[in-house]
Amino acid sequence: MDSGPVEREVLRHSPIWTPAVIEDIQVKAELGHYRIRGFSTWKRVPCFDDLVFIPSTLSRMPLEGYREQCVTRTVVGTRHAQEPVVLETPITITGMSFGALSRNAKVALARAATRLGISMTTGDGGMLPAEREASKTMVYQVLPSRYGFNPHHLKQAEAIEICIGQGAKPGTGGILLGEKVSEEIANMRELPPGIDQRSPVRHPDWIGPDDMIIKIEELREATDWQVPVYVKLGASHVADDVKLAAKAGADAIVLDGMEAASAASPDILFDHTGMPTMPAIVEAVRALEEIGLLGEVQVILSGGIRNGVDVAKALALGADAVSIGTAALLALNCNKAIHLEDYHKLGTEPGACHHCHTGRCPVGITTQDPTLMARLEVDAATERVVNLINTMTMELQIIARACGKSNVHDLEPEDLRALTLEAALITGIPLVGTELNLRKVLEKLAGGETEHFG
Amino acid sequence: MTTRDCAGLTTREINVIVRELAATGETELCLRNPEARHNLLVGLFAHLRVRLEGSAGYFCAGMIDGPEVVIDGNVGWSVAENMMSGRVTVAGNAGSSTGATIRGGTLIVHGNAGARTGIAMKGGTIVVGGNTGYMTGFMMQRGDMIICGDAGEALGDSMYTGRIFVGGKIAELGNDAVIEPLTDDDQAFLSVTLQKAGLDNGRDFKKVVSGRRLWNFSKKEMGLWIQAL
Amino acid sequence: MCGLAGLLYKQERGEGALGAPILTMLDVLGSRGVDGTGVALYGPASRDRMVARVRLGGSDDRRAQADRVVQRAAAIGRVASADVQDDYLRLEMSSNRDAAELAAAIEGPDLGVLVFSLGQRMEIVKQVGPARMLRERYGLDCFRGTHGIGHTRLATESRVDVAHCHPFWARPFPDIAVVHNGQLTNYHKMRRRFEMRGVRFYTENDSEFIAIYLAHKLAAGVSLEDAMKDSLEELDGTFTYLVSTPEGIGLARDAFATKPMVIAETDQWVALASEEVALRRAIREPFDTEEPSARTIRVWRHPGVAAALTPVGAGV
Repeated sequence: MDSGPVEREVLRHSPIWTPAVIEDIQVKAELGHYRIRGFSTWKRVPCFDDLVFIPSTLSRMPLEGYREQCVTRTVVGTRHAQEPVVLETPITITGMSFGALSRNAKVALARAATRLGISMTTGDGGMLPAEREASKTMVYQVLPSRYGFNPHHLKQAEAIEICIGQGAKPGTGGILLGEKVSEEIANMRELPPGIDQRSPVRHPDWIGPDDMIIKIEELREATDWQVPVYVKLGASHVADDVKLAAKAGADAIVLDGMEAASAASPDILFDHTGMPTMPAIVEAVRALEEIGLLGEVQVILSGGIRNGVDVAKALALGADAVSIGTAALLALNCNKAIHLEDYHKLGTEPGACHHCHTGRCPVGITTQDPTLMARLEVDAATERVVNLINTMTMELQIIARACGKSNVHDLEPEDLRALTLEAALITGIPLVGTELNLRKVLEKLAGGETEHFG
Repeated sequence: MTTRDCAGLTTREINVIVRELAATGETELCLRNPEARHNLLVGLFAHLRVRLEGSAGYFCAGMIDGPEVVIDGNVGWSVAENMMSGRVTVAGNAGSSTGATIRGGTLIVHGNAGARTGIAMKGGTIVVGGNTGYMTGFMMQRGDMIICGDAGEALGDSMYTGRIFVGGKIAELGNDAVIEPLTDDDQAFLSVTLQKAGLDNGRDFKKVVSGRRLWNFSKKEMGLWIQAL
Repeated sequence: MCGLAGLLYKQERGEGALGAPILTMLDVLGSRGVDGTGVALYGPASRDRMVARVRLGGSDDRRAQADRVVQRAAAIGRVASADVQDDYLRLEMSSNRDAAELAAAIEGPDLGVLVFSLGQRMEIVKQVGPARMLRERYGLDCFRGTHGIGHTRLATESRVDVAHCHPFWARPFPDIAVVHNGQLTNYHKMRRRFEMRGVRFYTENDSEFIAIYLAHKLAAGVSLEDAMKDSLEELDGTFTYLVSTPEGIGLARDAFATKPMVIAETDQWVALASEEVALRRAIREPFDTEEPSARTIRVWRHPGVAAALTPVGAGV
């Protein structure tokens, strides 16, 4: 080798062995078990961004923004309940546990929901009395773990939600790492403090959909058939699961797509399990249509709902309402550029933080540390969530009016066009510039072919 | 003491009758011909003594807080699930998930109980006069369980705190379940509880508790983790 | 984009010229659109008989097609008369089959044959093109009866062909039709709900939905007024529509009052049209007019006509 200056080689990076993959392997080589993190998937999947609205112009009449009515009122649970849930706008707050979230976060969300006339949901840890006090419409979750499950709380709820799974990690149970299992949380959950809590994936007292029929009846008997019973599914075998849940007697199905977040999940599950939200709602609506229950069983869609346009697209595809989690937390201050030094201590930056599982949330949302939690001032936080959902509602109405709807629930798939071939094939919505339902074309072809191939 | 015949009534009608009687101040109730209906007496908070003359189906006395229930027959799955307080006695056999996730009170099954007995218990006491099935005491968090007969495979898998006493044979211990010697306290508890349940204390009981090695993620004890995960 | 017309005689035993005045109104309203013109007219009732207006089409010889239709009809009932006028066959017959079966039997396997109306009194004749075509081809100027509705079309979102012209028969409910000005914006959602319950639609036109929607309500015992009130809540988009039944005519105007309507009424008759100029040309006596407000529901009934809807399933 000569002694002159070394020419720098052009740095090449493998698309398989990316910097992220290299880091992941090397961390696990030290750690000795799978990695756990919070937040949402890193993967780009077919989603609402692949659809556009085609509002009214000449062939149909748009409504005047601000002046002509555009109803957002939504009723969930009309199938069996004496007292269905009435929402002022089709946007609800999803279930997130007290444990995953701090007390201040839960209370702010509950108060915001009450001011907005919508529902909030308990989580995998039971009901916090403070959240019950703050909320007008509380959905009480029945989870596999039954942590904190109290029939007295059940009877105080406006709706019951049986959780089969969640979109971030269908087929697995909840996780709360030891740092966040404080004395208070441990007591609520009847666990030793400081353990790494791993919830079971299955319910303890029933196993299959045939048992679930009886379990739903049990919950109705215990609450005198007054309130709606929802079944929450992580989107996976959507068509099969939706039909089963509907046949088992669910009043509404809460469908949580792959883009949904979690405060603590095995890393590999976010990107590699579950069905994205957009195809999930398409599959769910077809399933309900097939069994003649579309419109009778409501669908609440969640997983990556970011703004009023996402809400509009969800409704256009057939959802009756949506649920938000991450968006609400972002309004609370998640990933806000404040307390920068604490983001850095976690090895991250605002805008990239996914460290909910550590319990060291710089803004006081996903922590049990009182000092950190104090950074989330409840009144201001409530105000921000109210602002967010109000603007989402206004965005939804702008779209609906532009499409000529005096009621946001009249948005239809025919108000949309697909920007990509993939989205067109998934949804059956025509590709922009065409009027052909590619999905129907394929189905017709497949129908013929299956005959041929016996 | 009031007696009612369940014949020809729906579960809902029966539960409404029970609640109405409790509201009028009735304290003792006998229900004839329950015919193994599901969901009887669920969510009952009244301080009432109820006897079912016959078998019940799934979820009998589920989510109760206070009542004393006697079932002169068998029960299906999940009897007394999530009981907060009270006393439930089953004269015959019980199905799977017996006493699932109970938080308080006492559940006694004189016959055999099925798989996942006492799964996810969070408090209270379960006593089984006969045998129990697979995965008994799975993810048990708190509370006490006494099995006078034999216990099936995977006993006490992934337990937290809580004690399981077994008078007969243990087919197999679950992950992170260990046998420990009984303390004087344990012996006293057994004596008193079995006597109250009308069961024989003559056996030599083994005590099963958590080994505490699965309580936190750790790369140590990899063998254990491979099985657990 | 479309023009609506309606005429009803109010006197007991009153009937009068229908074809001429309605076609005149539609002539004038043709300035709003000539993608199609159509009428639904209620003539005198023949006891025990149904009248069907059958559209012949496709590339087949019309006479041969008409003969096949008559053969099929004769196989399930008694044909009293069969007149071919251009591409329509007017069939009068009796049968103990209900309207749904009768219409299906008449159409048979012939894809070019469409039953546009079936009823004891209602006859629908419609055509792509302006009003004068109906006048010239089908002799409708002479049609006399108790009431009728008509339509000129400017197509908005479905095809320009004769099947997509108004009026729409609320198939299979006899003697009910709708003409509609506007565009529903929740048509697809509502149609899918109905299809899920087994209801069949014959076109891709949203106006057809209004007809079938109302007819289902009427068949369930809901009054015409209440059915139309429900439509104000359940239909979204723009609509002024006229619905005709054996008893008379109903008018509904949406909450936004976006599509026009003018009403002229005397003791003898009531006439409706999208524009007053159409009324003035067709009716040569003095009259006052009014414009109904948003959310209007009005029903005019011809006295002496049986109020009950001919039930589906009852033999004629």
